[in-house]
Amino acid sequence: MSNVKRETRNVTGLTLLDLAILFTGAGFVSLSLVERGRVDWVELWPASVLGVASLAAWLVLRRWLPLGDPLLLPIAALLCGLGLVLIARLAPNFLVRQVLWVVLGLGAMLGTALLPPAAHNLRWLRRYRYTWLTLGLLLLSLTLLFGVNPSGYGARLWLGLSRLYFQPSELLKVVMVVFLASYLAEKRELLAVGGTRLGPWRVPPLPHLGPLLLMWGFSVVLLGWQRDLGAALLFFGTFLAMLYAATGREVYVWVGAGLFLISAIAGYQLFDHVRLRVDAWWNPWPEASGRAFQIVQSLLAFAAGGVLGQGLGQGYPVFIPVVHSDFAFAAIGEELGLLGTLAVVILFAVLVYRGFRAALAAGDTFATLLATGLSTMLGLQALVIMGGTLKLVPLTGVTLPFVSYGGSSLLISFVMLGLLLRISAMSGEAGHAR
Amino acid sequence: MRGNIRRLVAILLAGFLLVGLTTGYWQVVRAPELLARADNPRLVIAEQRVQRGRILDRHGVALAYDQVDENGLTQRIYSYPELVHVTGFYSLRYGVSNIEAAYDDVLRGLSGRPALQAVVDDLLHRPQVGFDVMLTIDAAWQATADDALGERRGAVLVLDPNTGAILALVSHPAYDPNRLDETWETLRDAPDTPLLNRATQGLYPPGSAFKTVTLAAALESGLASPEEVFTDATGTLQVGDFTIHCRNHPGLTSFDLLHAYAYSCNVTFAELGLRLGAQRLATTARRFGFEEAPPLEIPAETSHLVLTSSLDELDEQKLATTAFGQGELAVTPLQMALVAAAVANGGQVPPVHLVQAIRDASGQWHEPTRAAARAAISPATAEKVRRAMILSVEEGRAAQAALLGVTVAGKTGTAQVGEEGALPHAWFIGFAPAEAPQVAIVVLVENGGDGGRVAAPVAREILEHIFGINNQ
Repeated sequence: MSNVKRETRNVTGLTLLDLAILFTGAGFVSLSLVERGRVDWVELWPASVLGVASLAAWLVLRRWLPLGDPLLLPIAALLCGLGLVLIARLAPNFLVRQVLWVVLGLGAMLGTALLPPAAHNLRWLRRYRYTWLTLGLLLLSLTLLFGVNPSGYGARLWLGLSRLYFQPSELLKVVMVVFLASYLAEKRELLAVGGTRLGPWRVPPLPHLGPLLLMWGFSVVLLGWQRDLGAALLFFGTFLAMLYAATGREVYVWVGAGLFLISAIAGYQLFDHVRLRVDAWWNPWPEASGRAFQIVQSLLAFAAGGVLGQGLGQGYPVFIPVVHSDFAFAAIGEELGLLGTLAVVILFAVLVYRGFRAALAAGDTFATLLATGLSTMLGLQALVIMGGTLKLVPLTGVTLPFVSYGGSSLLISFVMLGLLLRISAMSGEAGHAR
Repeated sequence: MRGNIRRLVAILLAGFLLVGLTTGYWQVVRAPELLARADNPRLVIAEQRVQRGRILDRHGVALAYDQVDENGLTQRIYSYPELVHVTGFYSLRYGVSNIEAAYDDVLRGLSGRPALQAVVDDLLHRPQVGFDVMLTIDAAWQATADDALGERRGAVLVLDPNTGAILALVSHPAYDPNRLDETWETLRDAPDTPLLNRATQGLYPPGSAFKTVTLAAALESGLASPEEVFTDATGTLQVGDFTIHCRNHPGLTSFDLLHAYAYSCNVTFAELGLRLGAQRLATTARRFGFEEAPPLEIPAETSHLVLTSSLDELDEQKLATTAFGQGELAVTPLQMALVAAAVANGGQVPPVHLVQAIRDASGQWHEPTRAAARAAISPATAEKVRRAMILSVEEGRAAQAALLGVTVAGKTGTAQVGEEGALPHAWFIGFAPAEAPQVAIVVLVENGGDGGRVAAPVAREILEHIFGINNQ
């Protein structure tokens, strides 16, 4: 790639980043106007912090990772900015913490993208895959024993250290994708063509599939135990997607989908909280003021938004319980309208598309599978929560990446973004070296 | 591997497309239906943000207005709660009633706002501001009438006989529309039915006040003249098996028709009724407005000559008792006010109304179009009935309604009620000044006793205030 072309890409990235920061600033101006009737410049500090931090990150990337995808950072910054505006509007008590997490997240993104070992084609990640996995599962087990919920009720998915809380299942998302990418990169040939014939069927080579199933099953059981349905669904979906991408064998997908269906039915029969979610999804209307209150209020918020939205700070999304984490998308629907929700959908679609683009261009099996897994994970997570608030799928408590309140989720999303940035730069570097 | 990944991309992008379409489905296609759901809390907020127009009295005194708090939410304040039977109430829980209901569109600003203005206001989240409604009520007269009736159950109506404008409308017991939500259950179950507007919806036997209609029918039909002399020596009249009693004129045995009215002789009016027959009596009653609901802005009941049987079935006994105000008569105070007003107005029933004018977006007042007055009796008959009513106050049983310096025309009624041991309803209907009437008035005191001793003094107290007479 020529230097001129590279420079053009970076300038485009800067323009987009500026727009994202401007949008955030405009959001805070609009909030201030609605709430105080005048612009209180002090109120704009989160936009300024986001602006300074993301521009600094852009400078660092331009200097040390000039070949990285120029769209990823602006998209994440815009989604974060939108998230900050929503949190300032819906749960102002959490605003300072969220800003802090955004800054830390940007740091984590740079760290993952630029750490010296990462420059060596992510070999360190690949080599120590069992270490990562053991660490992740250990953390998850610790949560089982010592888990808390900062709000005092609900699923106990956090590990607390004085006033800091962390959700190990978020970290496990990355660890799991890294492990799968590494394992599949090594064994994919075997899994794709191997196996013994049993009548008309070809049975997959169980010895090689075994460890995969074991690891995956362990994490899903742990998550099921913790009632973290959303995370379990993401793990399962990402696992199947990566298996399919690596082997191209649709049979894995069908068997997996069948297993999923069976466990879903079993879960419905066995667990009240699963039944509640599914019932509220299938037909919420008879229990609109009872068990399906949240989802019905969510749909009412979307309806209230219409095409143009009520305007920031001018709708009533607070009628939805815990709107700032699980229902951020519904709040966007009410206050920014169909235009706002479609914009968010398109942003995620572009983010995911760029991630896959990096995967296809990586020229290294491990990196390709890693980028595929990360993009699938991000995309599925966005789809599952957006679809959940829209009554398209049963509601699960996952965050809208970069937008919802939640430190662990934000941090891990940025780590995933950092890895994608790193992988997106690899094709250019390879070409450069040639 | 590349092909597999491309297929994955396609699946995920299809997912995003599906989510995008679903947002459109809820935000556009299903939105109107969802927003209209009763469990949409935004409806209550939107409702609370509407700044309803004020309800004013004829001099611009605010009877009902909205107070707006710092969050832009409004609260309806009734500065004259006793007028609830006219203004009605506005409640998020129980809806609207009376004028609040009849003029809801105007008060909410739904009608009368240019369409473009409505769209712009909506887009900018400007509160919807409604328009004022001015009533014909005179708050000061209303207060006097409220005080005059006092704690007694009953109704008072004061109206302008020339225009049909209601100047005061009292129905006791009343209730406080400011505290409706807390008191609703009690009000609904209270034995003295405070939610009933006795002035327009209460149906009562009118007693001798109805003799005004019988007199008008007899004179209008030419079957009797003012000079005709009637005799009642025994105070009884035998109609079939039934004996009619009259104890209203001790010592007097014969009198002309107008004096018979003034002394309220039951025997004379029973004879008149029999002479007229049911059809003639009914025709005149209908011309005064019986058997159809008065076209008032607030709910008003239909008054009936006979409640259960049909006119053709009316036997002689029923006809005779109906003619002097008992029988099956079921009449609202409003209907009796219209009878008095028609006599005062040369035989024309004026179009009764409560709303003087409504305001438009530019602040201009507009009078609603009203029906024309309807002839009930000829001016000549009206003049004769007027003379009878003057006699009734000057020499007869309505003497306690007499004023210093202002001639009052009137008629009392003491209506027997069915229940054992209950006092009769006390009535007074009339108008003043008799020569050039400015107000017609009706007083009803439920189970109050004698009309002349109970209802007539209430009317006098109100008329004294209206005409500025100090009797003390």
